[in-house]
Amino acid sequence: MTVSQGRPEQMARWHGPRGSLVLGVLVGLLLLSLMMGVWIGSVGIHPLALFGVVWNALPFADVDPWWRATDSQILVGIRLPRVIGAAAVGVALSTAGVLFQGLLRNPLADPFVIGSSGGAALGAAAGSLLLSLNIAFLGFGIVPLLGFVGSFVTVWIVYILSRHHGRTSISGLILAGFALGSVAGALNALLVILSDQLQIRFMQTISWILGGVSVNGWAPIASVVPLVVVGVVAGFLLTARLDALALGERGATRVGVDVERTKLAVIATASLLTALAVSLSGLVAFVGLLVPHAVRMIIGPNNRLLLPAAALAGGSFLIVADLLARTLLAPVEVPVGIFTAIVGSPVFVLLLRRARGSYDF
Amino acid sequence: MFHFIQQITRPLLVVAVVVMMSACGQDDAAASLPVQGPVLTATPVMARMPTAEVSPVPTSTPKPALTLSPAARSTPAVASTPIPTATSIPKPTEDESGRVLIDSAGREVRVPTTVVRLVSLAPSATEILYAIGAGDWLVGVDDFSNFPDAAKDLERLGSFTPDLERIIAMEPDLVVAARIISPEIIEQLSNAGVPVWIADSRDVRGVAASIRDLGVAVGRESAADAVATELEARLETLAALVFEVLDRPRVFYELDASDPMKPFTVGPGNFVHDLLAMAGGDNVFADASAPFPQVSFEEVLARDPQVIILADAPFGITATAVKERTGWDVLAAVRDDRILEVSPVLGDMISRPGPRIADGLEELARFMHPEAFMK
Amino acid sequence: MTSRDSPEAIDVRGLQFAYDDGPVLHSVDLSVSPGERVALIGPNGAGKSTLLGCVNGFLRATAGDVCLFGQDVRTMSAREIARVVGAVPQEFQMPFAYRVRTVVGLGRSIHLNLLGAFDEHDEEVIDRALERAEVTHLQGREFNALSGGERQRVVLALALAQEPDILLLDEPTAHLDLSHQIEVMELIGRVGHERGATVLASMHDIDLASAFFDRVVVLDRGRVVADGMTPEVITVDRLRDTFGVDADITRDPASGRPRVTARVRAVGSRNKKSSSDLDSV
Repeated sequence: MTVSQGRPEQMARWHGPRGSLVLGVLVGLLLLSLMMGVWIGSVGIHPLALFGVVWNALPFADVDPWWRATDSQILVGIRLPRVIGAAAVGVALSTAGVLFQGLLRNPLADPFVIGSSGGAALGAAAGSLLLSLNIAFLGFGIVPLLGFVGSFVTVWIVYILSRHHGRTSISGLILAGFALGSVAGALNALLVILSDQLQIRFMQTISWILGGVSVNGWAPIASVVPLVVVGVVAGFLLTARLDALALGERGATRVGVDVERTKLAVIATASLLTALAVSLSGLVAFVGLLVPHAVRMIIGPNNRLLLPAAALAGGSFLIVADLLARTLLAPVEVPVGIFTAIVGSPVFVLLLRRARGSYDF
Repeated sequence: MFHFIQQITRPLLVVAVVVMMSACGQDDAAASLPVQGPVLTATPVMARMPTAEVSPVPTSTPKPALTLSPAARSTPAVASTPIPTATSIPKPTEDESGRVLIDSAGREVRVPTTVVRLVSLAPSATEILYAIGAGDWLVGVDDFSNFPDAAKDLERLGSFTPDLERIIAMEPDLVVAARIISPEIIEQLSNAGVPVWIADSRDVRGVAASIRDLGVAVGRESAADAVATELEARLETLAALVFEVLDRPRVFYELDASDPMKPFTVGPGNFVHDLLAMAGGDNVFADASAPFPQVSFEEVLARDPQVIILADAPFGITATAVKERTGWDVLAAVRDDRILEVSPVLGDMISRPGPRIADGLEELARFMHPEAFMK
Repeated sequence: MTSRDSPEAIDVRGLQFAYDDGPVLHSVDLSVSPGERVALIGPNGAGKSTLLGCVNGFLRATAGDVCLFGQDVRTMSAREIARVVGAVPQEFQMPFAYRVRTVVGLGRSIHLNLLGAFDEHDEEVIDRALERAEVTHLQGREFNALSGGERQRVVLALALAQEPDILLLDEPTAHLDLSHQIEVMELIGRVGHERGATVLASMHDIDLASAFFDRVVVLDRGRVVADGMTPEVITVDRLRDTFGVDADITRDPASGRPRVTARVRAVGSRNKKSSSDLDSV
């Protein structure tokens, strides 16, 4: 067994020690963010209270609480699910971003690029109108439910519209997505104009459009997080083919990849992840665009490392953004999408400048 | 690159809209409150409480100063209109085309000498006009004007975007509106030669002044003065009652909890917040930095309100629904069952800077301090 | 239709192909035996690229058959075709900053396990492909940062990493400067020879085609007009009739292959041979 001399370490079999290091650091960062997210909030709670609450949760343990009763409620009932939800949103959107950027061979793609944002907003508006029906499913109210449906269904319509002779062209997807997203947006606006209810609830709608992590107890977490994990794993299994897609559709076919099936699998996985994120947090801008992009600039475009790294980084990013959203102007809750945009735009411009015009990402 | 621009402009546009809307929100609280729900079958107006029922203030103690907690006094950019005295009413300038008067928003308005055709674009203005005897002169009202009953027969002119053509076609002598009206509408009406009068108030106390000012404008000065005086008297009585109450409950005013983890409530700087304080309660979010903030449930939990007022009851939210919400059951208000479902009528009363404000205030005060009214 | 005896590497019969705006190939027949090296030449628009696209199954013929080692391409999946055919396009750019070794590794896409990982054998194949294309020293560099000639060699290495039995090349020397052109052609010659691979290359440079290939097929307006050993095909008449070029043909003393030099009218002088019809097709 001859080993070629000078084989660059990063090309070695697994991710190599460098890849494992990167992932390890990111996992640590995520755990740290989780803890910070639970410790810090608009209501001041003693940091050690968290450990006490967890300790007491164990069957054999029982210490006298040095925290208020509401503290344990807040920590376990409100903050923990919310922070986990924020992480899930970050993970889902970043993974979807990696998948879409690979599919469209464009570093400026984001999860909402093929119309899912318009569909999600329309679904949420429809849900707002039907609030009086008091429908709840798996811990989700009707607004996030219809937002999820709208997001997912729109992508499917776009996919079907852009299919031609059994092939789905990328430019077709983008055009159809743009068109459908615009139509959905127009319908949404029409709905708002025609409905007094929606006009009265305008702030609610705006808040949803700007994105805000909203987790109503543990039930939504129980239903969404496992699906996000499934989506990320599915995405990971697609990464090799995603790299091949970078050769172009013809190039990928040349090396033996079934391009149409890969496209279908990527779109299905990415749109599911996007819809799951939407159900927890509305439309959070920039995360799906910026996190994969920034991570790629640091560790390279190899999707096998990029996807899990971006997922972890995205989770941490969103936890921190959500933290800021709920503490900076406490007790007022700022939609988290504002923070991701405020942080995201200048960072994005900075990254573009560092690339110095050469559009190599 | 195009997509990047899309990314940026979408949230920025929304932020711009939000900023503009909150700027509007600062101007007027009441008219924008979401209590204009479906009009119920007409229930008789809650009878105005005759002053005799209220126990008189003992004369031995000095008349209590009408102090309000600092938080209740809104911090408006424009000072609330002081109660006009003979010296403070600007001398009207008279000529053939009418007088120039100052409306509630501080604008100079040229009001025709004879005013017989009126249009009202705010339900509060409609109520004031009827109260001061100018209701018969109304030819058109907005969609939300539902009190008194006679107003319901009038021609509807739209709500957030009134039908300008029809308004102009009606040839009104004066259009009365609230602060929330958009400047474009005022401009277009002015261009068509139709004067617009803003009758509004930032706080409860200013309602009387706005009634008087409007009375002068439409030529019903004495009637307006009578209504305003009575209103002031009732407010004083209620204030006195509340003053004696020792414990002020912590109040959470729920505007919209479609997302129960992030409800919308009221902060300082608006009408309702003022009302809550005058009714003898402490708004738990008196320290918020916006008039209609969205807050996290975590904060509600930490502040543990003792009273919950459901302003979204007209949309179907019930006390039972609140009790069933995840995590809300530990709140004092839920445990003690001190949840007020605001009826559409009450909602109207407390959101309109008009003659029924005292009725609304009283109902709130009664809910929060039933014992004070049982003497 | 499977042939009983050892099948041709590439067997094209009666191939017809039409795009939406019109037919491109009219009944093309072409047979390439295993190990043969064939150049495909013809004027622009003759249909060379289309023919290659049909051979590797990317384009579906409107009529006729294409068989690879006896198996109809229409019955083969992209994966199966990729095991047999390594198609080398003109060099390109990647949308992301992939490194050379990663790019070459894409040729092993169908050999990845479920987790998307290579095994040691795959890594060795990649090593060898890099060596043969003489780009081992470039393997850690960014693909997009290389010169055109270097990128073309890497693309060749990518195809070699598939360990194909057939190499299809589409104008591999286009856009390359002369030294790189010769470099690449020599490489192709060596590689083909070492692996015993069948090579079918479309060439835009007749002289280069003539110098490096024993057999030449001439395609003109969608039909095969000549197919045979190089000296028999590359003639003055053929060059004039098909390419509209007046050329001198010399014999290379070392290889015996014809070398082509096109005659160029001096600037300002009138063409003496007024009888020659120089209208190109």
